[in-house]
Formats: sequence, C-alpha cells, structure tokens
Amino acid sequence: MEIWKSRWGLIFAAMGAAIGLGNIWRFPREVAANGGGAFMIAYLVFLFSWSIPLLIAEFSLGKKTRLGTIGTFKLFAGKKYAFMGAWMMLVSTIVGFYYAVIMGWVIRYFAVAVTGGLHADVDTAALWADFITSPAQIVFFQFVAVGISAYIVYKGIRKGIEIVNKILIPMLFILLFVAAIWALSLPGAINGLKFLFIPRWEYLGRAETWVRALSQSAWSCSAGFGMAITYAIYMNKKEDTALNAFITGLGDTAAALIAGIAVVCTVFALSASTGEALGILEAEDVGLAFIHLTRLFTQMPGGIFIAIIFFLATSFAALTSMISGFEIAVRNFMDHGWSRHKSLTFITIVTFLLGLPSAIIVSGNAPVFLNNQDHVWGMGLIVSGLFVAFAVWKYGVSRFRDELINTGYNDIRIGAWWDFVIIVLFPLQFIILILWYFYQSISMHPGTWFNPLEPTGFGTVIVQWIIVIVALVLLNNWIVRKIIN
Amino acid sequence: MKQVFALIIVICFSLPLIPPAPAVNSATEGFSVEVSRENSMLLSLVNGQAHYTTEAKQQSTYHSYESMTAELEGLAKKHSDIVSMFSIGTTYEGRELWVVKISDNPNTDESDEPDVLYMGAHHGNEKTSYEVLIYFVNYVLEKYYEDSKEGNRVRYVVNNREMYIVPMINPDGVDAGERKNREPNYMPGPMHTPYPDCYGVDLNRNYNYMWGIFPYPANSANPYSDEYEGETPFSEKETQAVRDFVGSHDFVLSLSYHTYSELILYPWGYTTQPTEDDELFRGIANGISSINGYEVMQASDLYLTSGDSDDWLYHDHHVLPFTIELGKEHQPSYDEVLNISETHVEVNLYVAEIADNPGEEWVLREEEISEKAEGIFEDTPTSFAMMTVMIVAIFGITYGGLFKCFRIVIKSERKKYGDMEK
Repeated sequence: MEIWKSRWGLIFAAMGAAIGLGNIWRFPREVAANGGGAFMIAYLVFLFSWSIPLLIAEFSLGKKTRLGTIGTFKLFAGKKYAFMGAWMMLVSTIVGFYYAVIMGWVIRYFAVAVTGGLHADVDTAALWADFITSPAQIVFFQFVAVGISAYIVYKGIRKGIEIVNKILIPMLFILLFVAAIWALSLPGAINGLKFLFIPRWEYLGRAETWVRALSQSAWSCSAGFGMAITYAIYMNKKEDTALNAFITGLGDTAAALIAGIAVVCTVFALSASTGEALGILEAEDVGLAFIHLTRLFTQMPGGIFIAIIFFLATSFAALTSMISGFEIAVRNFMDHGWSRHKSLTFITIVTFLLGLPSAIIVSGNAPVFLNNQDHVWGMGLIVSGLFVAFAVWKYGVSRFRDELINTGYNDIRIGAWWDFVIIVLFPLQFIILILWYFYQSISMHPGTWFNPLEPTGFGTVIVQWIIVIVALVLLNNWIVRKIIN
Repeated sequence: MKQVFALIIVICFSLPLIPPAPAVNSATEGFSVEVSRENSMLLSLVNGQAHYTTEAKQQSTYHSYESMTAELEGLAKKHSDIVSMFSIGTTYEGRELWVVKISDNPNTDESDEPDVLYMGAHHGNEKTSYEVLIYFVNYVLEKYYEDSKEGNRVRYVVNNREMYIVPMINPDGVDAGERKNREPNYMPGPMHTPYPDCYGVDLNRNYNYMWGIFPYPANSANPYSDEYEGETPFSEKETQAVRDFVGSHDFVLSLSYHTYSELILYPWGYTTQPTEDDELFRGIANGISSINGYEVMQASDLYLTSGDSDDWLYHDHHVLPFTIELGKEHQPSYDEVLNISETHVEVNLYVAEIADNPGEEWVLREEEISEKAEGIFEDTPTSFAMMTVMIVAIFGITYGGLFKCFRIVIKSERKKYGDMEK
C-alpha cells in the first residue's frame, strides 16, 4: 500500500480537505451575521470541543485499521454497525455530487475573469442569472470539475493527492493573503475589521450563535466526513495522529480568518453605504460570491486582478476538498477488492450523473435541488460525527486514548480532557444541534415543513435520512461480507 | 457510564420545556426612541406574540361594511396624528369607498415618502381580503406607540412611507355576499335597456388596459357570468374612484388581496409574455413568498384575464402591483382569518419597507443597521482597542497555535530522520 512521501504531504492534504468553500464565503458571512468577535469566540470553543477531538479519533482509527470508513466501523464498532461507515461514505459522496457543481461555477467565474469578461459595465446579477439558467454551461463546468478531481485521485496518493496539495495549499494561503492585504489597503476597510472582530456580546446570549458556530466548525474542518480516517490509512506507522489533527483544525481556522478579512473588508470598503455592505453580507453564499463580490471587484480599477485571485483561490480550496471526497469513496471500494482505477471510474461516473439534478434543476435563479441536498446532507455530517464517537465508546474511551492515540509515536500527549469531550460534550452538542436544526426547518416553513417536497423543510431531511439509513441497515450484512480484511 | 448518558439526554430534552422568563413590558404612552436590546431574540419573539391583543383579536366574526366603517372611524379619530380616513367615491347602493392613510403628518402629501397601495375586496365574496387589511391597521396603530422591536419596525415604516389602504373596493358586493357589484347590467347601444335579472360587474375585469380582448363567448363578455367585464372599461363607480385616486398619487408598489389558493401573482394577466421587469417582479414576489410561503407565478400562468387592476396599474402608472390569493377557501373560520392576517402584517410591512428602492432589496435600512451593529462603526478609542484586543487574541490562538505545532513537527521530523540514519 502507498504511504505519504513525507509528513508535510499528509498535513497539507488534510488541511486541503478541510479548507474549502465553507472557509471562503460561508465563514465571513456567519461571523458578520452572528455578532462578529462573539461568534469567533463560540467558534473557537467548538473547534476544541468538537472538530479537533473528532479529527484525533478519526486519524487514530484510520491508522489502526488501515481500512476505509466501512472497514473501520466493521472492526471497531462491530459487524452490526458497518452501516455507520457506509453512512459516512455516502454522506461525503452525496455532498461531492453537488460540491462538484459549485466547484464548476467557481471555475467558470475564474475563466470569465481571466478572459476579461468582468468589467465595470457587466450586470453581475444578469451574468449569474444567464449562467445558472443555461444547463449546458453548468454541466460543462461540472464535468470539468469532476474530471480534474478524478484525474488527481487516479494518479494515486503520492503522485496525485500529495503533490497537488503540497503545491496548492501554500499557494492558496499566498493568494488569500494578497487578497486580504489588498482589501485592507482600501479606504474604509477599517469598518470591515471592526464589524468582523468587535464582539457584540449580546449575541453570546443567543442559542443561535452557538449552534451556528458548531455547525460551521464541523463543516469547515471536515470533521465527520471520514477524510481523516481515509488519509490516515496511508500514514507511516511511526506517524503522529494528535498533532496532525490540531494542525488541520487550526490551519482551517487560519485560512478562514484571512478569507474573512479579505471578503468583509472588501465589502465594506467598496460598498456605497454601510447599509449596502450589511445587506450584501446578509445575502446567501451564492449571491455574496457571484453577484455582489464580483460586482464590487468590477467597480474598482485593478479589481479584476483581485477577482482572478479570489476565484483562483476558491477553485483551489474546492479542488483540494473535492479530491478528499473522492478518495473516501475510492478507498472503500478498494477495500472491497476493486482496483483504484475501477473504483475511481465508477465513482466518477456516479458523481457526475447524480450531480446532474443539482446542476440542472433550477427554479427562478435559485438552484433548488442543490439547496435541498445541502440542507439535507450538510447536517448528515453531524450524525457521522456521533457515529465516530459511538465507535470510540464501544471500544472504551480511555482504552482508545491509551492504546490508539498516545502510542509513543505521537508528538503530543492527549490528556483526559479528550475522554470528557467524547463522553459528555459530544452527545450534548449533537442533541442540541440536531434539535435546533429541526426546529429551524419546521419554524421556517409553517404549514409545509412536513412536506418532503419543501426543499429546506423538516420532512425532506427525515425522509431522505430514513431511506438511506434503512437501506444501509438492510444491506449491512452484505456490505460487511464485501469488505476484505 | 450509561447513567451519565441517560442524565445528559434527559437534561437536553427538558431544556426546551423550561418556560421563558416573563418579559417586562413597558406599556408607556408616547414611546421613547430608545430600544431595549437586552431581550434575547427568543424572548422578544414570545413577547411579541403573547402580548398582542388588539380589537381585531377580540373580533370573532367577519366585519360587515357598517362595523368596519365604525371601527376604522374610531381608530382614525383616536390616532389622528398618524391616520386619516376619507372617501374616494360612493357605490351604486350609496356606500362610501373608504381609504385609510397611515403615515406621519397624515393630512399632508409628503412627496419624499414613497406611496404604497393596499386593496381588498374587489370581489365581495372574498372577505378575508379586507379582514387582513383591517387587522393590519389595528396592528400598526397599536405597535406604533410600543417600545419593542416590532414597534421600531412599524415606526420606521409609518414615519418614512405613506400607506394607503382601501379595504373594501366593492362594499355592495360584500353586503350582498356576491363577487360582483350590484348595479343592473344594460345592453349596449342607445336604448340602454337592462338585461332581465342581471346584476353586477367583476370589478377586477373592468380596468381599461387590454380590456375586452377576449370576446364573447369568453366569460368576461357574458353579462350573466361572474366575471363580466362591464359594458365599457371603467364603467363602474368603484373602478372610476380607484382610477382617479391612483391618478392623483405616485404609488410605487401595490398589493391587491383576493381569495383563495395561496398564490402571489404579478403581471401580465392578459398574456403569457413576461413583462420587462420580470426579474424585479419575481425578486419581490419571492421576498413575499419567504414570509407567507405562497407560490409565486405570473398571473397569466393561472389563467388569462383582461382588464384586471394589476395590468392597468403596471401599464398606465408604472406601479409594481401584486395580487395575493389568500388562504385555502373563500370563507375560512375566523381563527384561520386571524392566522392569515398575522402573517400578512409582515407581508404588508415588507412591501412598505422595500418601497424606497424595490429593485435593491439587499440594502439594509437605517434602523436595521443600528439593530445589527449599534455603535460598531463609531471612532472611539474603546472600539479601536476592543478590535485590536480581539484581533491579537484570535490570531494569537490560531496562528500562534499553528506555528507552535509546526515547530514541534520540524523538531520531531529531524529526530525521526536522525533515527532512520542510524
């Protein structure tokens, strides 16, 4: 089996998987909407009480079992629970279906920016509307996104994933720094910094701030995707698991902070009024990136270069996350006895075909199917996180820490705090987050929340989850038999 | 271990059961502009709902023309500082067509404040359509004096917009419980002989833009039909009154309430072609839909109509008109009416709020800014210091932690590399 060429390769790959679209356009918006510095405090709390502990567990599991998510759960949680690993794989694969579509949008905007298609006379809202309603274009760029990602994963760990991440992640940071420094140099940027960092303390008293911080942290760090389990398979046996988890989580936050400064300061400096800046930050992710930021870039001399840098950085972030999603699925199929080539061909075709509805089904200018999938499966990640904790509980939390984490190869020792987090905080955070999410899905759609056809309602989440879980539980024994130890 | 889990789960599930602390209401006469921000979001929500009991809430059956007139007159008298009430005409049976204007300085026409038009009961049998507006008037007048989040919102709208509410365009029809108005229909030509036993025109087919483009045997050309368009455009006293009233104001947006089927409709109604402002219409309609959850469509996608108020408002006066088909039946229970009314208070406020720049909804208004970021942008030493402290702390934790991790990695790599060399 392949092994990472160097530790930095693994570190950059894990950071690359974690840093994605969530850092670049969701984080700035969440901070802005939930009390600035107050949100950051809550975010840091959950970084250390959900994401990093979960990553530690995942890295250690993968390193021990040397199997993908399904095999890991089969060995650790027991044969009866192999479906949990299949759930993890499915969630990350399904997220990959629509993630590729969004990545296609970003590539397209990069292409438009490079070819000079963004200038002061462009109506960016019309540009977006034209694009989103022309399926041929969307599908073409989705195909490009899937193709690039598949090619990299096809090249394997060392020659594909490792090399790409080692180049792209440092470049991503450089690009983000350039964009942030440019934004800070604009007159009026100070208002952006103030809005981003000054804590509005009253927000800490609101449940919503905390719950949003938790979901942002989990989503952003890819904790629960199975990424860490998968990448840990290719670890040197003397490799560390704990410190790498900390680097992944902190590196992810580091990128988010820079992206936050770049985006929010640009918005404040270039908006006509404070009201416009705040309104733009309230727009949803897609509107923020593709309509408003693009518009602001085009109105500034030299802004076109920043637009190119912004979309290039975003493409890199998306690509490095996308390939990790592919690898998670590929690894599971390889455990099942298929070759990398065969597994990848299968996954690529499936990802492209099942991504088509997300690409094509549009209502007005809103990609409704994609929004629905994001609504349903984005939160599936939290369930995956609980499953990982469950595997650790089954094994015994302290025993897990003694035998699998603090192995002697680790650079830092993980103390008993980790036991406390896994035993007490995990179920607590899980329940609060899920309840809040359900409450939101219900209260946002009075009268229609139970209807599975309401794209962001409660019914659709439950129906899709239950279908998948029931199918996986029924297929559990078959899945178990297919995994080769 | 199991007990610990059980305990945690029990605690988690009982959290939502704890009743919220009773909110303190300062029901002061004459509001103070200061806003209490201590209330958590949840609390103010609970507060807003539990506290709201107006005359409209106490009402338990549909209004008649008479009871509506009495109620609105009472309100206008009581709140003469922000309400004026006047008639824009009379009907065939002699009822007044009331307009309630809500704005600061209600007796002067302030040209810098955008005008918004709300209409109900073009069709007399669609009673929810005027109940919603009566409820809205009550709501605004009560909240205007209140020191609360809702109060701020209402005050902003009242002080910066002119809202004209025509709750009953067809009071004769309301009184008779009929869709159409009550005037007998006459045969065309100089004889002017009435059709036998044939009453009423569908007022929402009587406006003049594209009037009568669907000839007999279309329903609208049949005097006995419920959708009869009338002998000529603006043949009816009610539509004439609306025409003259709209002509003397500069409306930006209008809402016309009807029942039923939970729809938000925008022009055109006479053709399936989109308007030039299709994007804008859909944007605003989606904004309304995000509040009431109704389905958005171009009016002609429902069925083709000619001579309706929206096509005329849009074509002749460049108003952005929307028709909202309320509810799931013509005469729901009064509880249901109250539910619908409560939701559409939000719709009415939203439409008034965006009337200053309907195309650019993302721009926040001043009171929303202060709500979201009060004092953040002031150049005081404390705000600057606070910002610096937070930047140093957050970057310190993140980047400090990251670099420390990197140092450990480098050190341990060197050591492992040394081991390997041995």
